[in-house]
Amino acid sequence: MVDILQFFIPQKGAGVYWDKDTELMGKDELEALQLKRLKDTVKRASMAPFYRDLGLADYTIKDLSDIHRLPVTTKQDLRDAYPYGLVCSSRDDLVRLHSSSGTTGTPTVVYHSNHDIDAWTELVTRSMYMTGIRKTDIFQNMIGYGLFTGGFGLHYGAERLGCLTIPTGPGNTRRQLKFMKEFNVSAIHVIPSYALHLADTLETMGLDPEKEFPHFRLAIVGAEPHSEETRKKIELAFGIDAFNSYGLSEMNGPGVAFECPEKNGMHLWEDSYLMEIVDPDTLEPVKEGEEGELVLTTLNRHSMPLIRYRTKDLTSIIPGTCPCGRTHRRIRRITGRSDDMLIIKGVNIFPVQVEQTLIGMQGVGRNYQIILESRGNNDHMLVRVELDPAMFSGDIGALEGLRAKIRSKLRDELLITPEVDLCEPGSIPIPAGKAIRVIDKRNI
Amino acid sequence: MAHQISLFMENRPGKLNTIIKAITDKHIAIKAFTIASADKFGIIKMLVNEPYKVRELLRDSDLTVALAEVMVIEIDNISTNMVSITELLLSKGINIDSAFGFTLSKGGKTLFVIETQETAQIKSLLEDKGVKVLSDAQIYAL
Repeated sequence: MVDILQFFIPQKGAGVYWDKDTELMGKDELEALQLKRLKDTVKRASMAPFYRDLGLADYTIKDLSDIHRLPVTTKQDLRDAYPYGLVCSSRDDLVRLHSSSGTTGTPTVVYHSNHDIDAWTELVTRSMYMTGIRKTDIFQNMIGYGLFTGGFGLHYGAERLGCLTIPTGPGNTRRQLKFMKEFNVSAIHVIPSYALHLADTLETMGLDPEKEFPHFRLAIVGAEPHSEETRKKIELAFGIDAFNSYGLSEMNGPGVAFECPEKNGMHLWEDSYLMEIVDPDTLEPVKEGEEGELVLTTLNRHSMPLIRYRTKDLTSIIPGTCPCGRTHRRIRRITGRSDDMLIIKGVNIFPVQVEQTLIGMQGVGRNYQIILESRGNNDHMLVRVELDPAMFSGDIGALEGLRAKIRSKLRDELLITPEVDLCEPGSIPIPAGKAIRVIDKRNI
Repeated sequence: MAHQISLFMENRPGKLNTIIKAITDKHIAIKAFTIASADKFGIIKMLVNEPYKVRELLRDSDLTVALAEVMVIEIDNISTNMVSITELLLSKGINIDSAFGFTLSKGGKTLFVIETQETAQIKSLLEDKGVKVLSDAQIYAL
């Protein structure tokens, strides 16, 4: 039997655009769509206990500039509203959750309905298609699956595109290389430092990365801030094109903003996110082109809309239009954070997680320090911990035991394993005012 | 009971020099000295003639110090006599936390420093076997 509905579903993926109508939508039409979706979002969000308590329903939205009057939402709000305070749909509609990693603090959880997963997948598919990935590509996804959004996000997008998708996840370098070679992989998703690590590994094996994979042509890099130099290094090492991507779990995950073939800034999908760039101190909008904190409002998430979410990521809008024709405005590479979050090996870590793990551990003194370095192309994390003099018995075995215990507790909390050094009490400098806990010596 | 100094120390150039200087400046004699190192940190054990004074001295310099009870025995021939001692301890199920031996340059006698939780028991065991166990005064006067 012929499904007559298929004739009414617009066909996606013609020419260089996955969703031509949306990607090339004119300014007026795009803003009208944003306004319609913003009104709908505010109405939905008002039903979530958190926004109901804020009196969100009392705000009337007449035009897009009304967004500036709405209250902002922070990561702390997500924690305070844990577990369901930001959900506005029925519990029965939820089909998935993603969460931050922390075990000591309250996790931040984002919930999705079938509609939300579908809308997110559509954005990822659009983004991947924009970079040039097609259904004929064989796609190896080297980003973490699980509670982290990076793996699942691109996985669903690649399947919708029609790629043969290999969900290797991160790590196990030899297997990654074996799969890439034996399945003629043409596109990968990877954190930038790991892409360079793959190239290094091949070189130490005496292989030329470019000759080893004749089919490999494209990499999507993300989950970790990196420079233009790093991108060029990746492209040169393998003889491929590498595209930068941006996303955060609070805004679904990857697929918020992506580079087009122009590789000059990332198109932020404005049909799905309302973008503001504000001064992090005053929350006043900065002039277009100036750097500030990116604040995003979801425009197409039903079960857990977020209003004016403070990403804490610093960036700026590239003024003007892109030669690729897409009308969605571009943001520059993320230049830093307006808080102290660190991204290590693609994992988000707050120094306070280290502190909470160390506090109350027997044998641990009052001060600690985090030192980040690049070793080869890999991030390396060292945690220096002062010893509690009262606990010292002169037994070297006890010290080794304490070090191993700190390491394992930090691994449980951070999901990466740092090196731990025990230090003499008083040896870590305590500067006047706010203690400098983190020394970041990495070459980004 | 006699004590030796245990000192926690990060492995950094100049660290050892500072510590030795702090002690010898006060004219305190260091009789024996070992370092057990674990990568970036280590523990120094020192036999000194005034352990309590040294502990205060090092604490004043914000160093992490502990005192450990020790006994020192004197033996003639390390290879033959050590076996009888270790066999004796084994038969009684006594464990030694840490130990080191050294030979005095003049007398030719070997001294053996033992750190254990069971000093009194070992002392009587060894003395019964005719092994010479040094008194506290003898240790500090070495």
